[in-house]
Amino acid sequence: MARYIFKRLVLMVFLLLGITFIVFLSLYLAPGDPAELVAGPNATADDIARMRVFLGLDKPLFVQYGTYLLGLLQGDLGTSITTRQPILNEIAIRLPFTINLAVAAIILATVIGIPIGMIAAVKKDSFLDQLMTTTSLMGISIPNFWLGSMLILVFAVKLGWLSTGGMTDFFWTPTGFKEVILPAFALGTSVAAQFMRIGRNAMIGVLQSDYIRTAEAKGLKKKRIIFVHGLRNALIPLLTVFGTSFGGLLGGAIVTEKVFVINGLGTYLLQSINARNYPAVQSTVLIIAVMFVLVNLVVDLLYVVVDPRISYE
Amino acid sequence: MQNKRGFRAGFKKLIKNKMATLALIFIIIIVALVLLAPVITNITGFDPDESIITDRLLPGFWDWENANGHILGTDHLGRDTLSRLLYGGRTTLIVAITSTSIGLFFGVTLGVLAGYYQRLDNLIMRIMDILFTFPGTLLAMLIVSMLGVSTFNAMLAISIWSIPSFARMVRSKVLSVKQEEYITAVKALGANDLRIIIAHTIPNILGTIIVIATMRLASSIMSIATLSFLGLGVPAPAPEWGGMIATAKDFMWDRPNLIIIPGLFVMFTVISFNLLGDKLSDLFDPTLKENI
Amino acid sequence: MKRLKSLVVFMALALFLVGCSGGGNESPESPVANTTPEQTPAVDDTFNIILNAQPTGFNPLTTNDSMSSDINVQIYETLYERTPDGTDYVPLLADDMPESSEDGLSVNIKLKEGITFTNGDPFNAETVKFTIEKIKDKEYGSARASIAASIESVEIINDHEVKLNLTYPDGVLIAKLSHMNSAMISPNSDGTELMTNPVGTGPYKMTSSVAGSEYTLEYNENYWGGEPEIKKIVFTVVAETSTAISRLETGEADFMPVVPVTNVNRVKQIPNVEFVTSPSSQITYLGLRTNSAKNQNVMSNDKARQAMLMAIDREAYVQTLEGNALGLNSILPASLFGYTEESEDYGYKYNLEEAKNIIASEGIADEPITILTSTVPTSQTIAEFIQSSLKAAGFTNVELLPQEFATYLATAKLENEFDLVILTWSNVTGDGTEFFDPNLHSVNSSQRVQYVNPEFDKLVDESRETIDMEVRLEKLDAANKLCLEDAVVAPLYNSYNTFAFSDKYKDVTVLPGTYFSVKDFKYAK
Repeated sequence: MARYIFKRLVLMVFLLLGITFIVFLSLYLAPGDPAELVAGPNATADDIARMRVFLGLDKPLFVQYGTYLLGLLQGDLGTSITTRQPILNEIAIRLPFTINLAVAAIILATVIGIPIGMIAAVKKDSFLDQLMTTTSLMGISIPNFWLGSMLILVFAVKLGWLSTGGMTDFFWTPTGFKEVILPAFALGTSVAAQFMRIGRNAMIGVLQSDYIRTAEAKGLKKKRIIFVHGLRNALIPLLTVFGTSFGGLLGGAIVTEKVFVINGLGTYLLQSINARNYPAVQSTVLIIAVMFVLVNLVVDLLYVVVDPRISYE
Repeated sequence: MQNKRGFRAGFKKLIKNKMATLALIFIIIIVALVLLAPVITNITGFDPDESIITDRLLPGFWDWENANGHILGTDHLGRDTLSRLLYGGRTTLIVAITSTSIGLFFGVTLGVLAGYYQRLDNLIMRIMDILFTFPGTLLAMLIVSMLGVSTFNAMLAISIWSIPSFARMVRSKVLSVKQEEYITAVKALGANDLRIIIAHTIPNILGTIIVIATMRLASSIMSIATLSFLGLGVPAPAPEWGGMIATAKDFMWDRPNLIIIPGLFVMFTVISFNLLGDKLSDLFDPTLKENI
Repeated sequence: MKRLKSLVVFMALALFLVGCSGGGNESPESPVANTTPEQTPAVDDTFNIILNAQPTGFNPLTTNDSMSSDINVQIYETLYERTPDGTDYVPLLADDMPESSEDGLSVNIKLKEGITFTNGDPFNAETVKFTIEKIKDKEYGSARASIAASIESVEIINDHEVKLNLTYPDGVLIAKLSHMNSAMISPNSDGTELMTNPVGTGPYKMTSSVAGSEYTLEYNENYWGGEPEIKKIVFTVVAETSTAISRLETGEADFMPVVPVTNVNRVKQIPNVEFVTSPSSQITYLGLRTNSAKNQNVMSNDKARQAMLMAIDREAYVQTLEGNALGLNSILPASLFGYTEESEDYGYKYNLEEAKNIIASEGIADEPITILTSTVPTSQTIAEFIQSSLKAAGFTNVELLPQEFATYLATAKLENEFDLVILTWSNVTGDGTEFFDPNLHSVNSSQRVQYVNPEFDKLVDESRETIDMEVRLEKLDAANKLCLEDAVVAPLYNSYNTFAFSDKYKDVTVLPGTYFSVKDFKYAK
């Protein structure tokens, strides 16, 4: 088991290395000059040339990349070209907001998706079931940036109940809750739809099985049996979906942050790309890749916990 | 020959299912509308790129007196919404179809290679796994920022995201065919196994490929809309549904329909493709559902 | 069947949404205010200002994006400053106008006494020497080292007097010493530290901040220049225009310094909020390539370029901007030094008939023409207007090349990629040489227009290297006329500053350099 984890971590390092290189290359090849953008529109050709030297952009490609990697080894994520601040600090300020959003979205998806799915299964083939299944289909078909804008239109513009954007606090605080509810909903909808489907399938599986009869014979309450067994049945497929959709969730967070004007990692990434802020883009993508790989590893490990039949050498 | 009959019978079954039929009809309507875009704009007389500044933010048919002839109103630059919607639909569909095709081509090729060559299998599949679960939006953003913002580059970026689905499926089919054929091949001349495999596998998986292609079409439509929304897709001023939503957001207060209408179009088009794909998979290959 | 029913329900809901919200909004509905804690109106003595993007940092020497400058202007001060109407310069930290030697190569500047930075450091000759040396220092990374290009060294005469030794008599010196990129910083300061913890001599100091979201400034009690009425300012980053405007509506925001032209109508309708325009020096203009154009065949033809300019009805376009910009014929707007009344007649005026004739007689109607623009909406709109104007004059093959901003900046310098390009320039210093040098001089410019005319270069050099203002004006005027006649540039419009503020305040204005000074704002009693 430990060997498995070790192997995964080693693979992760290679993967991350490859990612940093690809990102570096892509930015280097991109048209647009960061020195020019930093020096500002009123700069003379001289000013820009100076700026380029100051930022170290005149050095050859592999030197710049090498310097960055060396810094990484020392825990230095580089210095932002636009603000001259350590990128580690800039990311540290913004990362919590993105995580806040992602976690809230997942909680929402779980709390809404699974119970609805189970109820739909219990009332299989009724109008309610059909309604919920159709909703689930809509959930994965609706563009989350459009859903977000619609939510703002209805709840902030027309009804005035919630604000039009921004995030200042975590979701468990009163202000934080009001701020995160709309974006979490927009982001979590497609995941909720998938959870709903899984909850429903798992539940149907349970209902059609022999568990019920055996358990009833034992004298346990029907409802309890259904939900407990249903949940257990759903756990593995849920984990799978969570693992595969986490990437989509991160991507969706970038878009959602734009719609709701949240000062998170996604916004930082977009800005940095537009400003050709190479080190910032590299480090942000790196952090996102690390999160993504770790989550996948955790999911794989959780499989073992949930289903003792699975094991890794 | 077995297959052809199965296909026709499958099609009949499809028609009988009401939801799938509805989805198919909707798709046909949308395709017809966007194909007829030039004809329709000829009739209404409005060019999608023509901006008449004095006619900004006009209402549509619900307030016909003030609409100045624009059935769905105008945007903040005075451009006719209906024309932009139709031409935008063209762009969206063309990008989606092209990128799905590219994804199909490379995905199937990689799947065959992975299935056939044991040594490549591991490498290719690991890459496919990563590609499949890695945030697609992020990938597309990086590719577009590297190559520059253009419709072609957006297509490229999205097509990469479609490759894993095809590759995985084709690979597993090739593996199973390889199982069967291995025995026969050993007895035969030892000639080109690859050709035999391809000759046998492809007809079997035609149906499945169609299912995957349909679902990927839905995803691609979503992806190009998302990229355009971020400003990394189809470059302005060319119309595209996602891009229209992005610019309309600033005017939600004044003209909400500018953002509602393109969004509805994206949603219903994607739903239709998803529904169709859903029902097709019921027919051709029910085991597929969890893997797309 | 049941699935069908539920789908119908959804479609009905969707159509209902379209129907009821699609209902025209002649007067947009304001959201109900005061229903959620974070929408409570701002505390009375805090002045809330909207920034439409994140500032990069607060070291005035190394940053010049408008968001950072908006904040820096409240915290730092320069030796000289431009007068509110933009036409002249007066001493700020300096005690008087500079004294030049006969040959113009030494300049003495006396400094005001008794001024300190917010951290207690004194402002004196040491400060000036340090600041100017840092501007020139390659290791420091200043954004506009060209500001100190003429200064060879700084000598300290006494605690409150410095002598600048110049390499040539610099007529633009005072203008450059009024630019935020030459604001005074303390010799004890660290360049990187200043980016997050600014220390200046100005009326306000930064007391707290949340990077990327919010910056709080409070009145500097030791300020030498008198007490402002507004004691506390909060700058909030709101990147979405519609969100920013709704904050004006709810009263969460008191001042929006930049209202995009496309949203002006909505802002005008907000009760308790005033919408104002004020003159600025920012111009949008057209650059025409000649020998480095994509279609050199047509672009090297002088008459062809003249015809293109005659085809553009600038007045008509300015009309569509509904009073938010001014038309102009001179490439130097009226608020710039170098402008003369005569310059209103320079260049090629709108004359569609003449344009059509030239195009026909030169036989260039089918020549392909490419217009480069960024995707910034204001630039794109004028590009589209020019495209249709050229088509109306007879050109059949006019294409737009819109690019995302960073890419556009890079492409604009390349050769053979485009024929016409939309350019903007904000003219912060208010001096004509500072427009011609970086944009049109064949050697010093950013090479976007690639205008090569030795006579023009000479005029610009002469305007720079003398301190005789009359001579300067003469040279700048001649340069203005020349480049317009050569049909390599043409002004399109001179934007106004468009801004809005809560009517709880008065005397709120944005100056021609597009910055504003909160210390001069007052409460409306």
